[in-house]
Amino acid sequence: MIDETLLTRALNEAGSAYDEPAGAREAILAATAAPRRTAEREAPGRPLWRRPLPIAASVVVLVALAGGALTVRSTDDPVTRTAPTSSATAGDDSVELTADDAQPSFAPFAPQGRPVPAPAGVPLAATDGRASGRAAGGSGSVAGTTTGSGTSGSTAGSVAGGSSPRVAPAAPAAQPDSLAKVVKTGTVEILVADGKVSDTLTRLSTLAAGARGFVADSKTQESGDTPSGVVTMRVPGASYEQMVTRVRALGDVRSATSTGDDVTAAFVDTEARLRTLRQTRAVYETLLARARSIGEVLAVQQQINGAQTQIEQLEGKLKVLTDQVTYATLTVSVGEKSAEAELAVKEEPSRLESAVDRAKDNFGDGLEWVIAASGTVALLTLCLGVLLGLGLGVRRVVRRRLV
Amino acid sequence: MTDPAMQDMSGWLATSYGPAYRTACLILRNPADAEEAVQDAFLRAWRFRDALPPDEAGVRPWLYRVVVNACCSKLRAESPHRSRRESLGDIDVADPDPTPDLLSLRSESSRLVVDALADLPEHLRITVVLRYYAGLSEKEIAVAISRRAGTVKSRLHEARQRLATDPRLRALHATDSEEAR
Repeated sequence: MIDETLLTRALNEAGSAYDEPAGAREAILAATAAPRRTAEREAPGRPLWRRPLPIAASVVVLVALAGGALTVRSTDDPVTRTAPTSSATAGDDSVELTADDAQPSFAPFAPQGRPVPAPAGVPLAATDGRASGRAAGGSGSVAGTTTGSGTSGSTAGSVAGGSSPRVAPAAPAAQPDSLAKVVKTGTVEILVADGKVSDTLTRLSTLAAGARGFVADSKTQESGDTPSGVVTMRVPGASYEQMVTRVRALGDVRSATSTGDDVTAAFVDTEARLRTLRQTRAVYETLLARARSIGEVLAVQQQINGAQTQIEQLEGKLKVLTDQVTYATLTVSVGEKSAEAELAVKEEPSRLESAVDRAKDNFGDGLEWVIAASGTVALLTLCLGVLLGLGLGVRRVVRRRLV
Repeated sequence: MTDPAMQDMSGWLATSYGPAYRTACLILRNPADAEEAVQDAFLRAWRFRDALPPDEAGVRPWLYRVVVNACCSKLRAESPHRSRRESLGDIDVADPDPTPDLLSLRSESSRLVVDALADLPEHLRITVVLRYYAGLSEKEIAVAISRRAGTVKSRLHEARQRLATDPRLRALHATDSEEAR
């Protein structure tokens, strides 16, 4: 049997040779600064019934949802409420939730593992998708335009003064007080006065530029006499909420949605993978210098190529994530109020049309019932026929015997 | 950093990150994998901090349980890649463990022990590292690996037997015995 002291000594020596990776603790701190969106599915150690807090929270959420559903049903509002995380419809003045609204009531983690009481109003470094910070904007330019599929074919670029597509402005400075990475997206549908669609699109371009953002895509179309347009704006994440407020002020809001996606974990994970792959590539490069035969060179080079490909993929992913976090995406649909009213009138069928529709439905239902019933009738007829045949046969036999 | 919760987390990282990382390194034999596993473990521990045992003595095995689970996930995820790398041939480009820096820091005896440990099955290796590196008692290991204390005892016995019969450690064992005399 191997000596335990020897084992302990050797393992301690081996363990002490591993230096802690630089920046690893900071990465963990950064990730823990962001609240989690997903529900806590697996908690090691304690069964669910011994955790009253999540159960109580679930009950509160269920009650709130039930109450919300009842409220929505009771209001006869024709405008649909479509929002993944938060939404507002015509008449709502604010869609934003502050960071305080979304703050989880977790107790902080004490160094020795003892939970201590949660401090009231601890500011969060970030949002969890529903919450958002508040910030101000600056100045910028229109980045690019796309011609729409409508008959007019005018674009926001031309509306804004015919400026040619330009490169997006330099990325705004990262938020120094926030370690979380949140991708914000939203849509706003507004109705403006007749003949004001074009002006509103121009105004949207100006607003994007004023917030150091840009218009990524713009489409206008004119079906009949009713022009409409859709503008996709990219604005700095910090200016997103302010931009939504300004856009809502441009007309009557028909619907609005806002979504926040916390990608901090994906960010940290990608960065860690990149770091690891770069280290691996460095090791391979050292080995390549030591390779003596062509076979060795080829084998190592293959590994380097594989690592390089993965590094480039991860760098691309990181770049996309950075862009999405830096610039929030807000899609604004602009339409005319009269067009909406016409559409509403058209959508309501006359009594005669309704009667015809009901007749069609009833005819279909009746036909369906007849076809379904025919199977039963056929089976009954068959059974009766068989019974009749048997009866006749029996009668004939009995008569012969009597005779 | 003004957030008290973050300060607590920072303090917790200061006391526990090092041992947890080195434990993961000895289990996984790959610093990069260990870094990822420990990061994952700390994030998971942070997420489930409400499930912490109420007594202070229970916290340490709970933490190691999270770390061991993260290491096991890593081992399972990496196992196909490892086997493919190991079949590359005479150039062992896949094992990032024996980097020159690391080799120079290790003495011959520790290197032999680590090599022999690497050949042990995963469940024995984890038990040995938790016992002889992390310094957990058999009861604590039982909590950390979700097994009975008796199972831990038998695993440790089996691991030590296997290590004792390992040809690489025989000479070392003999030298150590002579030194003891």
